[in-house]
Amino acid sequence: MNKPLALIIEDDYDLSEIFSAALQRDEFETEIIRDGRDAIERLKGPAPAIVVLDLHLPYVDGATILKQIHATESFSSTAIIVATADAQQADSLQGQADLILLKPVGVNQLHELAKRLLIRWRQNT
Amino acid sequence: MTDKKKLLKNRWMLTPVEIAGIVLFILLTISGVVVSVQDALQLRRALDLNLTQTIILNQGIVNLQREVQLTHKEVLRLLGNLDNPPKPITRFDFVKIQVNNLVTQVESQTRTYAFPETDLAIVHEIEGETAVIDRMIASLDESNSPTLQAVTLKSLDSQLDGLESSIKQLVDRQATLQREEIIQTRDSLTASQRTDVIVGIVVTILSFALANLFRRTLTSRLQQVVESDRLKGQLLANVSHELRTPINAIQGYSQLMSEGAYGDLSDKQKTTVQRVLINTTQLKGMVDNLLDRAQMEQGKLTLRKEPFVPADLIESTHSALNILASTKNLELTSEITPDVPTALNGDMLRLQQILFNLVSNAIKFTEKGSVHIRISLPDKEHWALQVTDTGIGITPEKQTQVFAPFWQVDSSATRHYRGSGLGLSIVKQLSELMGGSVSLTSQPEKGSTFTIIFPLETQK
Repeated sequence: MNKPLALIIEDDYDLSEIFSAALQRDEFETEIIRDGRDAIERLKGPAPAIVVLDLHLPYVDGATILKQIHATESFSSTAIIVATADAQQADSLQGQADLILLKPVGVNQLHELAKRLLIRWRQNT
Repeated sequence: MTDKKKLLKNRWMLTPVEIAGIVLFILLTISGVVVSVQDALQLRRALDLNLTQTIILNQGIVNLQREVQLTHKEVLRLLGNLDNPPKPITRFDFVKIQVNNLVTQVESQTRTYAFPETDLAIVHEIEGETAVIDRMIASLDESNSPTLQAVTLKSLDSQLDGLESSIKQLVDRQATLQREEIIQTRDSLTASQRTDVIVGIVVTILSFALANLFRRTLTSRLQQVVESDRLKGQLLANVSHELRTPINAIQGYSQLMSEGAYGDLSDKQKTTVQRVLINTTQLKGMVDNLLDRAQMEQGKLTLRKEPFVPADLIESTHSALNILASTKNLELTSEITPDVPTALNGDMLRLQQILFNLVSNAIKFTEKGSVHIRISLPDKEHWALQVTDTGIGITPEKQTQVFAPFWQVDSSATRHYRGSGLGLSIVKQLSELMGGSVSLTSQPEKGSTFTIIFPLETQK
């Protein structure tokens, strides 16, 4: 059985590694992108099951990438998870993502999330 | 915020130098006023005394003058009646009494007062003339010849004339002298008073300048205190935020490692990684508390209100503190009563922090037994979060103190039980910000129960 792909767009090395390792534990394949330009470029590629998106990124900010993802047809069934430490920004993006996580995001929280997403992905495919 | 006010109030305590300054200011003002008032009164009294003496002396001399005039008039009347004297003896006797009177007056007046040297010549003249008049009266007594009497009376008349003019001279002289003296005294008094007034003003101005200086010093110090307090809070907020990032990374890596995400571990490796995780979790709790405290002091702590699942709240605390409880062989249990709704409204992160603090505190002070978390509905409008332990307990006297910042049951306990001492004070402050109220029941050696009652705001 194929593993779902999680696209992690996060410039913080440690956070992206932890997200990646946690999701891999929960049977995701992961791909890490560390800046906004690469993220925009990546939208041309195959769509992942989920995107974990940080809002503060080099070159192109997260909010712009979020809009681009919504405008990309191939990504239409992708679950979008936004992770930010800024509570106000999180509120302003309400409704634009499937889930908004307030940093710090714990490993247990990631596991819980992954389980739910995995169930959803399996139902969809 | 109340703590900040307390802090500022404490910092308003005066240093010894400032107290000395204020005391000096008060003393200077009082002494300035007292000196001017006292001197003015003293000089006033001196002036009054001087005037009184002057009036008495003048009165004496005027009396003398009147006495001489009376005698003189009597002598003149005798002279007018000489040609036809009905009872000359009686008349002579009267003149004799007058003259005796006059002599006594002159003697007493000239003796009582110390005349200035310039006047002594006149005084001697008056004395001489009085003595001559005295002798004339005595000779008048001895002679019975009317002619001789007439001659004597005539010369007595001219002698009295001389005496009168001498006394008038003395009166004028005294009047001038005393006028001068009064003017002099008045002028000197005015000058002296003026000096005192100036001294008083200078002293008062000086003391007000001093007061102003101290006021400004104090104000600028208060500003410095407020500013440094603000900077301290800012620094703490920044530092805490910067601390959280690497701590989260360490926590994440060690948890993943202990889960075997990076390959299988030996038993020793596993327990070691778990120790790393326990210590990191404690460190994270302390940093979170510090950050929240700093934010509360800055008035920057904002609370979110969003639906959360009570089971998630307990689950997150369990996963964070289970390892800590198990290393002390404590049982960490929990229950949610069936009447609790599946979703409540509130700030999940802060509630996690409250529960984390209560549970880690309970684990810290419990050596054996269990720590139990309970979420229930005490009534229709509230929900309650309860943490019960079987630990060392808290005596009734100390139960009110445990919520004060940086306080621990026994200050020597800080070494034994690690922690910043902020946990329970943060619990109380956060709970109250959320509209909750914290209470504590405890029995020493048996255990404690912390209960927080929150208003129930279920998701509509």
